[in-house]
Amino acid sequence: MASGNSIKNKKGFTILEMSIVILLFMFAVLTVSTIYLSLINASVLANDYYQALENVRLGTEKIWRILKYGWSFRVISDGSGIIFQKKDCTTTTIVFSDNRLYYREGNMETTTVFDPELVKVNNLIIATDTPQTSETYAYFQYAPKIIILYYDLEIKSKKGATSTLIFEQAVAPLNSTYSTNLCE
Amino acid sequence: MRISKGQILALTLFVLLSSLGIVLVLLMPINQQVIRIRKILNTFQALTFAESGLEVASLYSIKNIEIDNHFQYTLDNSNPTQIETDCQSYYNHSCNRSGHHNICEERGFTMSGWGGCSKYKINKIASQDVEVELYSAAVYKNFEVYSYFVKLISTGKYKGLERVLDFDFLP
Repeated sequence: MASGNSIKNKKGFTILEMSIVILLFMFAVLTVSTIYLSLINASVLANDYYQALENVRLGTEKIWRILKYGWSFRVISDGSGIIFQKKDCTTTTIVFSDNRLYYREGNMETTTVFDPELVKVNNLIIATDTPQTSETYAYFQYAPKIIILYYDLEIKSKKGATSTLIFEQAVAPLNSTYSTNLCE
Repeated sequence: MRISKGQILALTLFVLLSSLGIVLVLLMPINQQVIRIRKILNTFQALTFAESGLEVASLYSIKNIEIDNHFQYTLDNSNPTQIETDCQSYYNHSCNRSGHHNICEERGFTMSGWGGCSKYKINKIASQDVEVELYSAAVYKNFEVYSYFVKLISTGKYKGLERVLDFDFLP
């Protein structure tokens, strides 16, 4: 009898107290998991953007290198592309169409400069300087000395988020100072 | 020793908040990665501006040494403006690079005054926030122009970030 009374007299936790503790615990877990998930998402996003940026870097670097050593540049009238001859005199085309930047070299298959899964091309405008002479005796007299490419790009993540990259790239072709066009 | 309910509750809260804090601290590097990628994107923009400036400036340097005088850069707001400068600092920078030795004199070059030294500043190229400084100085050998020193400093700016490309073209 005495032992039964002592058990009754021991103070335990009531259901209300236990409920409050469980609620607090759940609240803490929920907060941590939300933060954790959002940070993981942000990390994935950063990784995707980084990949896309590397793709942009590679593509623009390729264009710069090919234009730098090219010959006989001709910009398509609306500025959406350029036709020229590569270092080895292969006729090459870079053209913007359907949110993609296409590259074609001679009779080879057309490829895209940027990976469409990672980069969307919103716009591309190509411009060159205008020679101030009508003489065409020497190549340097009529060759464009600078080519400006205006890029309006959108880098994409797998989760659908996008970020805009707008910049211009200038290329001064080396061969434009020569007297003779070696590809003619 | 009796432990009160308040103490148990305080201990529980302490453990919970500590765990929360530790998780946040451990996740901080991930958050930094996100900030870093944003900076990388901005830096990329600034670098492309600087590279464009460098290309245009290299062209002006060719124009300046009169290989070709037919070129005219026709995009907006791109005419270079020559500004007065103290070429002495440029001379020191270019010719005394190896400390005590004067490279120019060692190679038999002489600088006959500073008539051939000029500094150009190409302001904005098209819509890009880029500043380009172009220095050129004639190098004389046996009283004839032998070659040119050209120095290009192209600074691209984007959202408070700057990328500077600094090139010396020596004879």
